[in-house]
Amino acid sequence: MKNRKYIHQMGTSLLSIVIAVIIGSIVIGLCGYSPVLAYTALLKGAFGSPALLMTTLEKSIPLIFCGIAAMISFKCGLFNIGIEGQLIMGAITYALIGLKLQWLPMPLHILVCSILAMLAGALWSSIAAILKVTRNANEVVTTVMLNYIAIYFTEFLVAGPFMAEGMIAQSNALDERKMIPFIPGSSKLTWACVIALVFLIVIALFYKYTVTGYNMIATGINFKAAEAGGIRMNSTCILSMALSGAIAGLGGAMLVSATYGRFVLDMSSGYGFDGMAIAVLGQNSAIGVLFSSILFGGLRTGSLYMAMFEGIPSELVSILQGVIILVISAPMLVRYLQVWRKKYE
Amino acid sequence: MNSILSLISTSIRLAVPLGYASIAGSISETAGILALGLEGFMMIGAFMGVLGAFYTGNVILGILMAAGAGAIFALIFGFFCIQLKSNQVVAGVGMNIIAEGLVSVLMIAIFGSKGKSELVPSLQKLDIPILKNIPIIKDIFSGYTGLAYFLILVMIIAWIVIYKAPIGIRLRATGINSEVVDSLGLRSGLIKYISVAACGAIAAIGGTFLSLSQLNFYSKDMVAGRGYIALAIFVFAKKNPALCVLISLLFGFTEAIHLRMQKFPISSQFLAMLPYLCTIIVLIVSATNNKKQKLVVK
Repeated sequence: MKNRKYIHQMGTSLLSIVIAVIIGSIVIGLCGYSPVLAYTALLKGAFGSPALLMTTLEKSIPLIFCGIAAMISFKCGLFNIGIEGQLIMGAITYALIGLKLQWLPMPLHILVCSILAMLAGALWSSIAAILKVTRNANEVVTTVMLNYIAIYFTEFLVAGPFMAEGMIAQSNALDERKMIPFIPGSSKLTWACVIALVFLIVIALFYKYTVTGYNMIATGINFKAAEAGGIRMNSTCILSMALSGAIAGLGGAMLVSATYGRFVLDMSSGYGFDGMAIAVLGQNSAIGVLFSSILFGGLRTGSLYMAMFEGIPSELVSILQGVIILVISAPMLVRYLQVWRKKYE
Repeated sequence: MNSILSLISTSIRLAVPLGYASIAGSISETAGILALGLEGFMMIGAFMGVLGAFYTGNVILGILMAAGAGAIFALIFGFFCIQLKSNQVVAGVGMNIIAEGLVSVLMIAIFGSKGKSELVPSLQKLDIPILKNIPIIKDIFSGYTGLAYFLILVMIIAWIVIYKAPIGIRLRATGINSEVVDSLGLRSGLIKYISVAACGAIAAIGGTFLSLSQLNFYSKDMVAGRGYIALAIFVFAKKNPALCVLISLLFGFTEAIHLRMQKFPISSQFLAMLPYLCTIIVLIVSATNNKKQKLVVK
């Protein structure tokens, strides 16, 4: 029975990818490009060679964190659309405090700064959660607004008091020896990917084996029943949202400490929204998040390749992502298709 | 004095797109569908308006095309929410992502740049016959484009339709309990589709105000979260079109401060935050005002 449920979920995800590919090819065709060429370039660019595969995996690291963050909020029935902002707040905290704490030895430096970045992300998302609980303010709108506020706030910091020399709005660079090192034998992949996997497993175990995790899932499925069952709604909601923000903040921290080495304005190119799509496509399961993150990481690298060699706009990928989200959001679509298939048979 | 007058007229100008979007949101919210796709509808509207004006050379045709495209786009959203029982929040966010991708791809395919489109004819400013001769009144009430005055018409029509016309009763009933409406032999699905299409068209017209009235081209990130701000506005306005426009003025003012008050001793980034901060504050206040009224998120 349980296996059937998993197969059904996987089927829904695959179906949505297929539908997205079909709709995508219609759009590509309408714009006057060849869908076959586009998709071959996309696949080739994402998984075509070991080096490209490494890039894909490296790109999927922040996506895994954002996917986990979105998953945590969805599981509790909350819509955290502010992952982008929480990630930015985590990243700026890591970069600015990291610059002050350069005297710490490397592992400790990463640990301390990451914890602070997680705190920053958690605080940022808690604002929305507290407003939701105390004032019933819709968290979708507040988190989007907090995104914009985070963007302007960090712009103020790195274009003003903490601006590095030069014309680009960015902070000073961290010492390279304080950044997360590469995995031996790889020139692209850092230990950050191990950290991401560890967090994925920890979160999966958290939901499977702890009471708090169970409470969160129960709240998401039916909050009235959960409340009647004695679960404290308010603290569960705030905790879920804070956890979600903390993971997003950690994603930002990894982006600074593994990829950029400093805070750059616009460094998060839509990771937050991708994270939502990943959690939706992964059907809120840890293993699903892992695979969807790699897929979305592949879309990111592949789309650049596609734009470079075939001249097809890389933004096409966001249409694919949007359609995937839309199709998965529709439980009835799958049922209609099943009914239709039976009739056909 | 002049700077105050220009602040007021800028506020009004910036309030217009929010006014359209929040009225659009109220209409679909009244029918029980949370229009989270407003951002996307506005984006589609702003772009299609420019595209229409680019191909036909006529602004009015551009706006009509935008309204049509917005309605079609909204109907897709409606199809998912009504027929396929999608989660409205997830579907809305999906529509916004699709809109952004679609507009970017079309921008590159048609104008060759994803940042800025080519220049197109834009709407002329209108001078109101009698008002234009009175000193202060002329600065505040005259000299906007036709779309700004059209908003007042839309507001009145929306108010009459929602609160006074027979269809408004059905519309509101659908929002409260669509099964009861169905049991009375009225088609609640049809009512929902109509309201979502109207929502898309009106929001798209709001989008064209950004691209064809304020400016004469489409630029990336032009909508800048206004669709989401509009959500907060109609919650605060309790879905009343007249209040929507009034509250939009407040938001227009916060944006105008950013544009007109660059000489303030505060960093421009903090001024740019104002509309977004104001949205959060409005949500806090409105939730205490009407505790019973919740957004219909299912």
